[in-house]
Amino acid sequence: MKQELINTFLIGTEKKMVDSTVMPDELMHLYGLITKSTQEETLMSIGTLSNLYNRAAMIPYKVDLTAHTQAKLDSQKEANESYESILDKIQTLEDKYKEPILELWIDKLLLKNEIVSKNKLVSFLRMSENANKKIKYKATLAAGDRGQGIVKKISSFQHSIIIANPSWHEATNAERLDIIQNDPLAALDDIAKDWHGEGIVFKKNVIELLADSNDNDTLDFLYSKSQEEFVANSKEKKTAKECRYLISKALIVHNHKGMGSEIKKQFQNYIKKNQGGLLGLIGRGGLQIQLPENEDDFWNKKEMDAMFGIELNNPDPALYKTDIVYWFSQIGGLISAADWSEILEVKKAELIKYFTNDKSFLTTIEGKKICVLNEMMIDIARNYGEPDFAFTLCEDIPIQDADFKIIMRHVPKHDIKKYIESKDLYVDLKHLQLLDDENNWDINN
Amino acid sequence: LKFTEQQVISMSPDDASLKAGRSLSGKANWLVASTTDRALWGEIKGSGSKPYQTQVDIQNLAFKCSCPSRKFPCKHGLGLLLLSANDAEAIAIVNSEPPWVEEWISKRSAKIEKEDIPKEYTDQELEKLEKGKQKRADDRKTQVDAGVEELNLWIQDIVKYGLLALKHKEAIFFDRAAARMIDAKASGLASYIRSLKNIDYSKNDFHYQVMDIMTKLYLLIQSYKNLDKLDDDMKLSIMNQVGWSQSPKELLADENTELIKDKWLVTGQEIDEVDDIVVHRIWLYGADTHQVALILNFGTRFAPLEITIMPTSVIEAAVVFFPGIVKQRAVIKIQKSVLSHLNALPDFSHAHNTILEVVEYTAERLIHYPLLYEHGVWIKNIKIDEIKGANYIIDSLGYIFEVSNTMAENTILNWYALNLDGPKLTFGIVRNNAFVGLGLFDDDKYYAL
Repeated sequence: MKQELINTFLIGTEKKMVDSTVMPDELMHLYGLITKSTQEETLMSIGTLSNLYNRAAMIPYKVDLTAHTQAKLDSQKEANESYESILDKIQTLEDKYKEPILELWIDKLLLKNEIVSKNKLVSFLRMSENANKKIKYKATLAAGDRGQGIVKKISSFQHSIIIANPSWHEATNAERLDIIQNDPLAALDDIAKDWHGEGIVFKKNVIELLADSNDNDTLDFLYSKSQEEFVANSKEKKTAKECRYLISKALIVHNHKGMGSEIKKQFQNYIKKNQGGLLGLIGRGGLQIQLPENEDDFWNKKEMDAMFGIELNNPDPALYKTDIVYWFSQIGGLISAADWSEILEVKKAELIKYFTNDKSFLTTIEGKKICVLNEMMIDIARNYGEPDFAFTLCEDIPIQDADFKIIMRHVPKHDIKKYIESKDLYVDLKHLQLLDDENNWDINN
Repeated sequence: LKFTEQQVISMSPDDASLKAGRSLSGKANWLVASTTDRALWGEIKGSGSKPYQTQVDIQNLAFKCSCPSRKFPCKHGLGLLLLSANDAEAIAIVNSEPPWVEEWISKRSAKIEKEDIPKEYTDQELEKLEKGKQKRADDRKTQVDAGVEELNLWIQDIVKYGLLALKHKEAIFFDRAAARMIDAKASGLASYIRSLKNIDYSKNDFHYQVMDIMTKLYLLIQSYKNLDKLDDDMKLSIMNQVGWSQSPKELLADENTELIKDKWLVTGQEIDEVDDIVVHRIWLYGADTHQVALILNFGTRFAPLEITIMPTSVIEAAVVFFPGIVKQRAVIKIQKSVLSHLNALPDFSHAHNTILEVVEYTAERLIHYPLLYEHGVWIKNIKIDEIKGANYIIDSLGYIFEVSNTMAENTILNWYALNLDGPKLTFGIVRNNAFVGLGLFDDDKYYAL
């Protein structure tokens, strides 16, 4: 339609008269046949004829086909129909079960080096879009290379794509943390390069992620930070102190530069032969932990702050009889159950019995005896993932669901599988959901 | 008949219903889930004291549920069908139906049989009926004439003060005009006004859409005013578009109408909801006759849709087309059987090879009937692609055609997914200068989008 005509339509015939000569010559004959008595009828007649003329003469646009090449093809084959039909069953599960089972399903698919078929892809991605970041990332892998274009079109997956295609310099802090989580070693150079410009909260998040690594370079990096940046001082921020704690924990747990052995030696200084009985509760040697009543060279505020960065003030004097008992509960989990077993000369199975029965660590509140070392034992299990200790702990003390996952975090999957088999826990989702990457059960069964 | 999950999904009225249906598709949700060769039924705990009773007529696909939902099918119907599609073993195969199912299925069968026997009238009755019919037609014509005249003035008012003024109009401006047309029994005209209301007036190019709709509306009004000068088919077509709905019952009763028997592929359906009326627009394609038929199914809160045709299935049926210039809208007169898929790929030699061919074909049809609203086409080797943030279909020569922005996001994503390994033979609707994709063939299997 000519601009002249459009202008009349826009501002109205009251302000702009219609000019019939704007019409193509081919239409003039038809136009002449139409009865028009007002300016408005004239405009509508011309507009109608012109519109029809344009619609009938429309030619589609043409584009350069080289810019519209085919999506990348994958070498992996598509999952078979029967395996994909499990997705429909997962879809019907309650939300709390959906995620872990979906993750199992994806892991198994990736293990088989297969991808989701194209006709299931959208419903699969929609199922995964509200899952946690890890599952979403795995879902992007399950979409295959060819499916990345579809993944990109779903806004809730934008973040996951960055994980799939890491580019440190373009990433936001949250995305960088995902990159580190995905491959800490590969990210270490970038972390070190940008370290000085980063804020303390981001640094703490990075340390948390790196702390799981037992790679020597990563631990050297953390060690250097503890010596340069996170040395205790009276003006430090709370977050800096927390960084010191996280680094100390990582270095001790991984026995970097013999720090774990050093702490073990320190603890050994406080092991004494039991004088008052408790036979049957403690090991062959009748050993028990005897913490000092007053501060000494090791158990003192300065040392606890400088070496461990723990909170110094006893948060609950009714629970922890002394500051030292509180500090012990905070750092006792830094050495393994195997080390404690050796120090106390008890079997690992008896260790929990010892911690939960030694009266030095029991407090009576409202007539109920409470062991103040439960958190410490959870720390031991979390830090070292010793299967026998972790499983016994979960059986012996009340464990919240959230703690359960934490405790089992480093327990090898084949041990969990063995445990599930021995206890016949196939229908126990709490246990089943612990299995992921290394699980090689057939999900069809 | 065994339903596939994809077929059940395509029956869902919306994403929310499907999601809710999925959550009810576990075996554990159903107190009872059984089937015979003609019905599928289940009982499921709802918010009331009694469980909801859900039933499906699997021979002449229809749903009924005792829940209060006005969605069709409701989440219980979808849940039961999904259960049967994904876990057939969860459905008990029995020999007889419980009374509440038996009663409904038998009534339906009786009704279907009854519809096949036309009632016989005496001459006197016929004369009376004819008189009454003529009076109703005359009364209606008077009402519509007044409505058309009023709308003509409404349009002239708009162009007098300019389309820019529409940017500042409230929705009620359009609602009132649409309501007047409904009162005047010109519902077709009301739908044009609703289209004007739905335009995004904040866009710089809003006036192109307004001019397109208004000029078509003006043409319709002028055509109506000149009805006497038009031939019968054109007259019927114009009256249809104004709002004279042709009665499917009359059409089915007319023995002179031509029956088109074929194996009809259900290529897809669109679901609209206007003023509490749910409209299923189901597009069929005749495997042998190559005809495209549009079946409209209406439902309200109080009179839910009873007949459903599953997209991607194939029905062996005889359809009757409504008279008019464009033979497109049809009703199913006889439905013999439902097949889950076509046994052989139809001959698609007549399908369009390029988008240019589609555009030329559309222009030809416009010459015959300038008020053509939509038509279904097959196009070979096309795929969906994104160009400058908008979705287009693109053919092997590089011609592009915009994809309608009325398509749901998930449908578009599915389309992209099915095109991941290349262009496909695709069926869709050309409507308002855009393409609505309904389904495509992939390795000889038809997928609804």
